[in-house]
Order: sequence, then structure tokens, then C-alpha cells
Amino acid sequence: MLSESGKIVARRFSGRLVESGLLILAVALGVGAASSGFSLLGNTIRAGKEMLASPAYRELVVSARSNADEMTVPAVKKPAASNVALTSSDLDAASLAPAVAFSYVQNRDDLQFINAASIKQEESFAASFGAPGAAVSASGGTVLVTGAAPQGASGAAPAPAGAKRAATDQGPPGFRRMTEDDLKKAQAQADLVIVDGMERLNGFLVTPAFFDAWGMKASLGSLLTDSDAQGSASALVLGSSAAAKIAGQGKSASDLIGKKLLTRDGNMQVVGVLAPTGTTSYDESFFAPYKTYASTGAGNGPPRMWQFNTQLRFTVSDVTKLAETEKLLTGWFESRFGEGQIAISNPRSEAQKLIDRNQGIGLLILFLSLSGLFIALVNVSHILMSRGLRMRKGVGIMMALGASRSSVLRLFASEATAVSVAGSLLGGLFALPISRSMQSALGLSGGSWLFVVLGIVASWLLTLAFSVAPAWQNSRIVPAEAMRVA
Amino acid sequence: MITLKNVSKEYDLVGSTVNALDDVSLTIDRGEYVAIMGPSGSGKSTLLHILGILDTSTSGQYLLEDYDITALPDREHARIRNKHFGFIFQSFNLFSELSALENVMLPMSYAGVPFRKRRERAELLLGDMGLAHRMQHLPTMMSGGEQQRVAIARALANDPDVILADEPTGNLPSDKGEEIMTTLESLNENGVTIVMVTHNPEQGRRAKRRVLIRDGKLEDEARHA
Repeated sequence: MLSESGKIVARRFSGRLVESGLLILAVALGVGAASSGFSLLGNTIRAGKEMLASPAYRELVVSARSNADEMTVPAVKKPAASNVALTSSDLDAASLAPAVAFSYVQNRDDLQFINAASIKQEESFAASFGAPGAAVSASGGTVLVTGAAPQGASGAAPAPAGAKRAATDQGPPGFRRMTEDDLKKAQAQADLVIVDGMERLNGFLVTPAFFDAWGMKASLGSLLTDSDAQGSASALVLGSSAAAKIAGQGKSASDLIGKKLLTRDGNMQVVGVLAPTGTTSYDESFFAPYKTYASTGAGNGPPRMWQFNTQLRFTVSDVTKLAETEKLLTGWFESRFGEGQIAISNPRSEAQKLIDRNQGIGLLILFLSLSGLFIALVNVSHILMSRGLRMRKGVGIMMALGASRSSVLRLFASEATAVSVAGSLLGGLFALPISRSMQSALGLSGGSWLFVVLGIVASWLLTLAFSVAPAWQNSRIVPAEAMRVA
Repeated sequence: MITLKNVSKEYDLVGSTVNALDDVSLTIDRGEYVAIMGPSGSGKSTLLHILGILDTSTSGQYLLEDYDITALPDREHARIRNKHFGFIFQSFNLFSELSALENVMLPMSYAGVPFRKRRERAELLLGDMGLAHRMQHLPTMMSGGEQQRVAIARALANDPDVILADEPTGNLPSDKGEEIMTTLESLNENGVTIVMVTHNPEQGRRAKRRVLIRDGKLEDEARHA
């Protein structure tokens, strides 16, 4: 329950509702802006650190120049993309660079599942554009069933993963579109999984060192090995979310281990499921072994289309050695392919530029918001001071009745605290959407609310200091002088 | 009970010093009824403020019950004001935000009296002042005489040794002023020491002792039974 002197302040406060409301609003705006700025800078720094801690920013990416430049350089200016194709054997370049801890291939790919919906779609497409049973190009949408169909249905041998494009280009004889009957037979096979309700799954073709570089572990089964890349079997590792999605609701991903998934690229055997990585793009992906054209069993020959897209990645153990390693690798690849044929990019330096820019913006916004808070607090301080002056005679009377300076200070301080707490809570309501909006403007996602809360607490403490200062000054009066006020 | 020894009070005005009190020595015994009189600006209120520790002297000594309180810290001064003195002002100085009851309860809250007890005491005091029916009224809803009686009840809240009254009837019509004077005399008869600043010679004559002050100096003193 409020003491009588507390009631005086509370009733004066509520008696000047507009002034009190403006006072709280001024604090709220200042605190809201400052805590948003604080949160933005904090999240920018956090996101920068998290970004640079990723293995992706400890590596150098090597790709064929034509491939690397295709989005920025006009087609006519491309160097002869002729015969420059990288393969996993080029990872040997790592032996020249002592700072390289891991070297691997990571190419984007996707799996297209065969299921009732895809067969229906293909049949409809074939009815419109071609005779049933005709083998047309994969880009045309025909299901090529080299092994996608169950054994005995087509009699064709499984195609190796990573050799998809080659097979498509060549269009080997004996390919035919899978029918509903084939699907029924496939469903009867205990070790074959037909993935319903999913058209495709994005993923990567990788060499085994990829998992070591990213510190990935298998929660079920095993990871890919060198023998998976060499053999003709089609092994597959699934990310945790992808496995859960394929297994279906209420089913365990462990049921998938050893099973084969029916895809356009053949029957892909699930050998393992990754433990959650915390990186959504990996958790929702598959990982198949990267294979050179030679390892597909197709023999030595000219590089095929998918090899032009091969990206080699070299992860360094010490990021300060990135530049030095880049020089060594550049020398190695130029000597092998010639000058200008290979592009080596350093994602870390690009990321660092982005982080520096974001942190600069964050600092600027924090400075501006703190300036806003300062201006708001100076005004709040003035208003509280003038409220104290208006109450000066009352304070003198309170002191005459036995109030000490410390009790008067407590009285004003409690008013200041109430204003600053109410303003800060309201400011917090402003800060939450503002900080989220500013973060999304800078492309930051998953910001921590902790920074908003810290910003609110820091701004509140500053507000309290500005509010208590007039309270302290108003308590330092001589009662007799205070009571002379008319 | 109260002894002032060679007390002076100087104010610094722009470029000059004003002596509000000049070497004042005064002793007030327990149970006295003292009227401090003098023309405007003579230092009456300053003397009353120093007696009530609302202000401090520039020099001299203040003894309360033979204890020198001049150098005590603010907290002790506040405690002494709260426990030993009750103040009555010309303009009542009630808090307009508080009811009559709450105004009387206020000094007891500084003394740490629990809510229930201070409420009971305030109700008793207001009842004694004939204001039982006005307890929940705000000062703005009361007449001047009623407000001053609330102020007297407030002054008596912590059962003080001394009532310091600064022109207690100055803002009241004569009939209401007479009521207040009667109340003060009644309190004095019950053993409360009264020190009253007044311009009014008639009221001064009703006090047991008159002190005349002029230009900050005690000039004359008269006692009668």
C-alpha cells in the first residue's frame, strides 16, 4: 500500500495525465529506438561471427572460369570453355598448400522421385506430346527407367549417381517410361521406398571429405566413403529433416537405412542419416557421392556437362592463411589449365565486406538512436525537474513534517522509476518489431531477442540516471526556503 | 528545553549580505506559550524556522534538551522535526491531493507508525477538532477554519513537545481565528509548548510570554502569568 507521501506523488502524476503520458511516450520512443539500434548492432556482430565460423568461410572455391563468370560476363567473351573441366583428382592441389585441412567436391544436384503422381503427370505429358513408350529427353519430362523400374520390369542396369546427365544426353537404347504396373511391382519390393507426396529433393554430390570439413556425423547408418565414389552402387546420405520427411509422419528415419529410393536417376540406397547440422540447407538435403566420368564405368573419354560444373573446395585450418593458400592454388591451377581458365574465389573476403558494411550501418543506427534517446532524456529530465520545482513547496512541508532528504529522494526516485519502467516497457513493444524490421532490411535472420532485452535494460538504466538526477536535485533543498515559494 | 546561543543568520543577496538574525539568544522552557512579535521583515519567521530546524543558523548554537543539534546530520534533524515539533502555517499548507485524514496521517508515516495505528490516531485527532464528519474530504472542500483545524490535528499527530505556529490565524476571519487561538491555549494548558509568530497585538497579549524582534535582534521581552 502506498504511503501518504506516495499517494501525493501518484495523485499528482495521474492529475497531469497528458504531461505524464507524454513523459512516458518520450521515454518509450527513446528506449525503443536505442534498444532497436543496440539489438541491430548486437545481432549484426553475432551474425557476422556465426557466418565466419562456418566452414564455408574457411575455404577457397575453385571452379572453371566459364562457370564462375557466366552470370556476369557476356557469353561471347567467355574464354574457351572448351576442355577445362575440374575433377576430384584436381583436389591433389591441396598437397601443395600446407594450410589446407580438407579438400572436397561439392556440387549441387537434385533427385526427382518416381511415384504415382509423377507417372500420372508423365503419362499426361506423353499423351499430349509423344507416343506412349517413346524415349524422349529427360528435359522433356519423360521418365527414364534405367533401373528406376524394378528389376525384371525393364531389365536395365541401374545408372550411377552423378552420371545422370551423361545417361540423359546419350539416351541409351532400351529406356522406356515407367508405367503404373511397374510402380505396383516396385511397391511389392520390400527394400524399395516410393516417396509419395514429394516431387524432388535438392542435395549435393560430394566427396567424403565434405563431411569431415563440416564436422558432420551420421546419426543413423554411415557416411559416404571413397568406395561409394568408386563403385557403381548408388549410395545416399540424407539430412535429418529430409530423412524425417521421406520416412513420413510418425515413422522413424531408421527404417530408411538400407532401403532404396525410387528416383529418375535409379534406385538410390540410403546408407546413412546425418545428425542435425543446424544448417537448414543441409538438414533438408541429400548427399550422394561425386563420381568422375571414369568411375561411372563409362570409360575414359571427354569431360561431360556435369563435370564443367564441378567446384573444388579447399578448407584451411587457419583463416589467416587464406590469401597465402589462394596464391599457391592459383599457381597450381594455372600451371595445369593455363592462365585465366580457373577462378578461385574467397567467400570469406566477400563475407567480411558484407559484415563490415552491416556493422557500419548498425553503428550508425545505434549512434542515431542513442542521439534520439539522449534528446528524449534531456527533455524528460527537464520535465521531471519542472515537476519537482512545482512541488517544491510541498517538499518543504513534507520536510517540516519529518521527511528526510533521503525519503524525499526516494519519493521522486520512485516517480522517476515508474516513468522509466513504464516508458521502457512501452519502448520494448516498439523495439521488437523495429529491430526485426531493421535486421531483415540488412538480410539478417534469426536475431536474438536477448539483444533487444539488453538494449532495453541499458536504455532504462540511462533513463533512470537522467530521471534520478532531477530527483536528487529536488531533494537537496532547505525546507524553509522551499516553503517561501508562493 | 530550547536554548539559542548567539544565533545569527545571514543571507547572501546579490553583492551584499543581509542579517536576518543578529546574535539572538533565547531560552524556551517546556510548557511555555511564547508569542514572537515584530514588524514585517524583522526576522520573526526566520527565528521560527531556526527554532523548528527548518533552517540552519550561520553561527551560534542550538541546544535541544541541552544537546547541541547544530551539527547533526539531516536525517537526525528530520527525526527531531518529526518527533518533537508540530508546525502550523498561516496558509495551512495541507496537501490538496490528500484527504483530511491522510493529511493527518502523513507525519506519522515518517515516524514509521503502522497504517492502522496512524489511521486510528488521525481519526481521534480529527474527532477532537470537531471534524469527524470531514475526514474523507479534500482540503479544497473545506473552509479555512476547518483546514487550519486539520493542520493543528496534523501538528499534533506525533504528540510533539512544541507547536510552532506561524501567523496561524492570518488567513482566517476573526471568529474562526478565535477558535484556533482557543484551541492553541487549550493545548498549552495540556502541557504543549507553543511558540507563535503573530502580528496581532491582541493575540500576543494572550500568550504567557512575548518576545519582540526588530531588524533581526531581540529587543524586548515580557512575561505575565
